[in-house]
Amino acid sequence: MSSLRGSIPTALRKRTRASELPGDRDTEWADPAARIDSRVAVHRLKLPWLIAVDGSVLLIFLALWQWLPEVPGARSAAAWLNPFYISSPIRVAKELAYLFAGTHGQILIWPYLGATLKSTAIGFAIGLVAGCGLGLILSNAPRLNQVANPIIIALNSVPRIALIPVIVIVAGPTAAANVVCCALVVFIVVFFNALAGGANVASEVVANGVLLGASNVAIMRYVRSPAVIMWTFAAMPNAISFGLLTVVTTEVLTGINGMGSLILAALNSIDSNLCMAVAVLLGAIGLILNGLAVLLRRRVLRWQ
Amino acid sequence: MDAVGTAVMRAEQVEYTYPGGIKVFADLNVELLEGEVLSLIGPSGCGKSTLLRLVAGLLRPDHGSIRLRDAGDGSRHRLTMLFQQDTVLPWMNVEDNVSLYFKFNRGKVPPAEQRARIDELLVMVGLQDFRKAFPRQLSGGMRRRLALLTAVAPRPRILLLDEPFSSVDEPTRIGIHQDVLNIVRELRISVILVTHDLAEAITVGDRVALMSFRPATIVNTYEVPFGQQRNVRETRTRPEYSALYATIWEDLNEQSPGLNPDRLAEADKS
Repeated sequence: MSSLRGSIPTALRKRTRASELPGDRDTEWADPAARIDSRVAVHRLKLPWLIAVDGSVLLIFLALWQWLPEVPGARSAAAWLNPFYISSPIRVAKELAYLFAGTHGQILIWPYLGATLKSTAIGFAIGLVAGCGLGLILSNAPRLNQVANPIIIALNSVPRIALIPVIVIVAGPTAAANVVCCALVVFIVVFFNALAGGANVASEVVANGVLLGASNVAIMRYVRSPAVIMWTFAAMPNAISFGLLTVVTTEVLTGINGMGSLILAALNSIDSNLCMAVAVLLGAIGLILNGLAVLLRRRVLRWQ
Repeated sequence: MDAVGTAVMRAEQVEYTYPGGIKVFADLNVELLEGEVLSLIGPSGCGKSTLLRLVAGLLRPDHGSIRLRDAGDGSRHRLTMLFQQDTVLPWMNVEDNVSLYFKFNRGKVPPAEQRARIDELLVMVGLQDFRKAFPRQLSGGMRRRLALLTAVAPRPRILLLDEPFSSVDEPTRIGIHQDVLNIVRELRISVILVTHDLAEAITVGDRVALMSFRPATIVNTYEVPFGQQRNVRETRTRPEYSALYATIWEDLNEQSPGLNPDRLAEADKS
């Protein structure tokens, strides 16, 4: 058979491939997808893979944190590789267990956690309503908006942390100071979003409403407020993270009872276990609050 | 039903200059007759949409007058407009969007009649199975039909259409043309249709008015010989359609500054 094939002239053999004409050579043809499709397509991992990869990263991190200081010679190479400074996953887990049980000489965490969450919740609610309301009003009143805008931009460029001491001086080192600080920060985040939402309603949409006989109040109610509310809810996860951050910062700065005051206490007694335990706990709380905000947003913005 | 004759809108000696200083109208006169569809065509940038905004009262002329005839019994809503841009409210379902006028004017229309009107309109454009759907769930053509229903639900005396169907594909567009005609004839609405699509201007309009480049005037008006009740798709196959199309096309090109550089220079001088 091989001798038979060998007897067929090359030109004839090539013609047996339907796509090619006599004279075509492979070098004259290029694959359009070569090195193009793989770079343009968006590659995504399937969920199980994602969990596996991210879970492994977490486990490796925890393992290194736990056992790297145990490696012979590690501590002499880097002095900070010592559980006294950086604690360890097992110590943090134990510390958290003690905090929730109030045993092993540790304080009970619930009152501290409750104080921080309460301040965050009240401050967040006040900031949300105020920011959303003022955003709605200003988006309906272009001239008032013009007047207020420079003031708000100036206020916004002051680092909020610099205002905390002033508020504490006025309100005293109380939970009220905490609430005011949180409300202020949440207000600014929400307000800018709400204003953008209200002001971005297309002029044709407003004109359409006016031609259909809508009063100013009706335009505000049916046309602008839904846009304002939509943008407000879009800002919620961000706003609540900022709110929690502000409350904890205020507690650290003033020693008002809460998660921040625990950080302060841990720092003063050089207790890295407590520091890390509080950090982990705050991270978890931030994640939960963020998740709740996302869920709420999805519920309210059903129509999207 | 065929009470074409008296004017419901009259614009006289209208003068209007854009804030930038470009004079759009120097002496514009135009009339909309009761029960007719008046198609407005003209070169791009001649001020067709500006004229609609003046008629709607969204803009005020510098000189001259624009007047709308009142219904007499005062019961009829004066005017609505269907914008080129999407004005459907995405957070309201189809039914609520159509009833915007009723929400804005509580007590004007009894609830039973509101429901009857909404039902009738939804059926007329084939949206009856989508009354609880949100706009994002609708196709482009359905969204435009929804916007149309919102504009006609008040049964306005005058409806202004500002290039409203340029964003949908041609078969859908022709379907919407038929819906528009069915609705405005049934509800006795007088219409000004601004379009850059000459086929649309002829097949939907009773009269086609040709505008010049700015400062714009109506240079010619053409009677469309198809009668008030017509099949839009079928009119396109008629010889009268082709003849009228050819005539207006030629006149339109004569008005276009892109094809007549002298005219553009002349317009910018004034």
